[in-house]
Amino acid sequence: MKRFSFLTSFAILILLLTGCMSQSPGAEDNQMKPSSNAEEKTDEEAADNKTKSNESKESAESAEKLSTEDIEIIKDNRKGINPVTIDIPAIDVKADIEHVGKLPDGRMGVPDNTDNVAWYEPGTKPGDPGNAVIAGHVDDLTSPAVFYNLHKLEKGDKIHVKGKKGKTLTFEVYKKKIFPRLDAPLLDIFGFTYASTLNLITCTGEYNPETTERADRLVVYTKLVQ
Amino acid sequence: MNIKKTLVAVPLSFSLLLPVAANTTFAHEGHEHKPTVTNPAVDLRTTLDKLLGEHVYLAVETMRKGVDGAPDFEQSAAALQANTEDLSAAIASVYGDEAGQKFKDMWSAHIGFFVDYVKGTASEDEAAKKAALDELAQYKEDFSNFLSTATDERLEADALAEGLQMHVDQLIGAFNAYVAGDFEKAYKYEREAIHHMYMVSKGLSSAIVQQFPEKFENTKAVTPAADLRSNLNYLLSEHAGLAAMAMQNGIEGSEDFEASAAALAANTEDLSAAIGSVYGEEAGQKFKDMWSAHIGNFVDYVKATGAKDEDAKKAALDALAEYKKNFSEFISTATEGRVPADVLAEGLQMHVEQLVKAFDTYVAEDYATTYPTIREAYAHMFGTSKALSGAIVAQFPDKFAGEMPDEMPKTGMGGTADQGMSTEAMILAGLTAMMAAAIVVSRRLSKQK
Repeated sequence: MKRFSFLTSFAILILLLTGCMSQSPGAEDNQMKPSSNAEEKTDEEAADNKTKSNESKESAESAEKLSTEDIEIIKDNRKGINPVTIDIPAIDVKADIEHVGKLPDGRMGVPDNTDNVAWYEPGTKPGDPGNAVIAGHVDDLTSPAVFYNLHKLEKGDKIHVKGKKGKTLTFEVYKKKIFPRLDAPLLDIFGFTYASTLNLITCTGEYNPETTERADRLVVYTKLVQ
Repeated sequence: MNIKKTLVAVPLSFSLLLPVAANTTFAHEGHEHKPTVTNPAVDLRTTLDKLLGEHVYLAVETMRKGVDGAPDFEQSAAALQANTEDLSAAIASVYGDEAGQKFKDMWSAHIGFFVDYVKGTASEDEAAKKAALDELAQYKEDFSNFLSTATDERLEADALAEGLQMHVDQLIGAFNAYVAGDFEKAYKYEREAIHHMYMVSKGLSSAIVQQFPEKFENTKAVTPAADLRSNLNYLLSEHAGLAAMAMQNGIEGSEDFEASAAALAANTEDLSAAIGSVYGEEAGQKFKDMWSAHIGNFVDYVKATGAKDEDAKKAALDALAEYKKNFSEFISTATEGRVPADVLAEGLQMHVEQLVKAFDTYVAEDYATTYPTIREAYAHMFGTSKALSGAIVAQFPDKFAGEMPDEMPKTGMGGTADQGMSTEAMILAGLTAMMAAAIVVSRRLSKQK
């Protein structure tokens, strides 16, 4: 193969490619989280931001070069949000999002206010790669609560989640499943996935006064669409 | 081999310390009891980290060698091919030989399209380049189909295929930047592309583990502890890879030498930040000083080689031996003996020998030795990462507690349940009735007044 001279011969091609490579940085929710679990993540985020600022500084320095500096590096720009409100038009739900963790008995926490829903904060942020989880009550002691109609959601229905900094992400229902409350695939619901998903949980099934529990859990699986 | 010793000695050393660390906080039936970096699922993730990361590294370097018409191109390409063999074997170990073969055909084909793109670039044949890009665009669909058959999960397959398509785009981007002479961008791209593959590895390993939970003893590929190991996998192996290339560029006086050295320095920054996030800023800074100094010693070795100055070469090697000693003690102290100084020193000795051998054979134009040695040097770092991450997690188990709940939330109180009222509801209803009665009574009383 002959030796190749680098100069401007590919500048035109590069410029053409710019179109395919354009990307929007998007609003980012980068709020520090107080829980001790989040320490590592926050450190990573800080390191991440540091790298980014270095990059922008360096690329500014090389701006005189006639080359590829105006082409952004293609990368996975998915960035999760700190969820504040949820809006599900199909079942007329508009609710505030509480942040919960793991209860002392190991269960996922639930919202204090039955009109609110709860995001599982030690897990994935909505929009990040992985399964984000939001739970809501089906009823309170006497009447229907926020996720009473969750079972009515159908494939294709949209869920809008707004972040602390105002960025709204939209998710779309792709599957729903019912599991016995003690036999749900936790890894599938809470674990990692390459996709950015949001799983909504509520109670369903027969109520057992002995356990003060309904027998099953409904999971509505949704995926990020924008 | 020293690497084996490292792997054996370190787990032994921290298994002695673990009983102290294993608190009851994580004790729940059917779940992992303590954070760990070594279980079948995390090991799978590490295997994929290694092979996918190395694939990117070798692909980026081979494409550059190709367009430059470099004499070591063939051997660099052979190393990439050897990586494909290993990757296909890893896939076959999970999905069987037939799937492994199918994977290999598909993976080799995508490398072939990259070769076509490089050839098209070298011969300034725009049509050939476009044809190669068109083929590469198809690749996503093929891959998605393969993965959905393999993982039986369409959403996951599509998402991972998107991730692989981004990998393809990144390689093209990195290559184009190199050809355009924007070396700074080319090397940044290389780092981003390598890092990106770790996300693919994370997704792929977690999908495989979820598909065959028993094969992986119900362990998880993605936990905070596994993430630490993977992050160190990335940074340490990237260090070895970038160092090997910076040394080659140094002796060649290549135009991209500075950019490659800058990428190596950026890797050092990230590595120091990772150490600092565990042991504090001061320790991070000390780490950075030592680490940068050892890179400086390698630079001295390269310079001495260029100047044919045997004394200076020896001085550089002596300095590396001194570094080995100091650095091992530093890490041993930080990890409170969980990474024993002598074990780490042996590992570092091997790292130094591998890089020097890869470089010396490159200078001697013995490329058939250079590239297998670079692969060894790359793989060696995963042993270091396992030892270091294992020690850190054993030292700070609370920082790596599992994120997942052990049970589903209780999202109902029974107020709308069909059969009967719950005890709480009855109490509440009782209270409400009493209050209502009280209000009525008090109103009547006030009316009477």
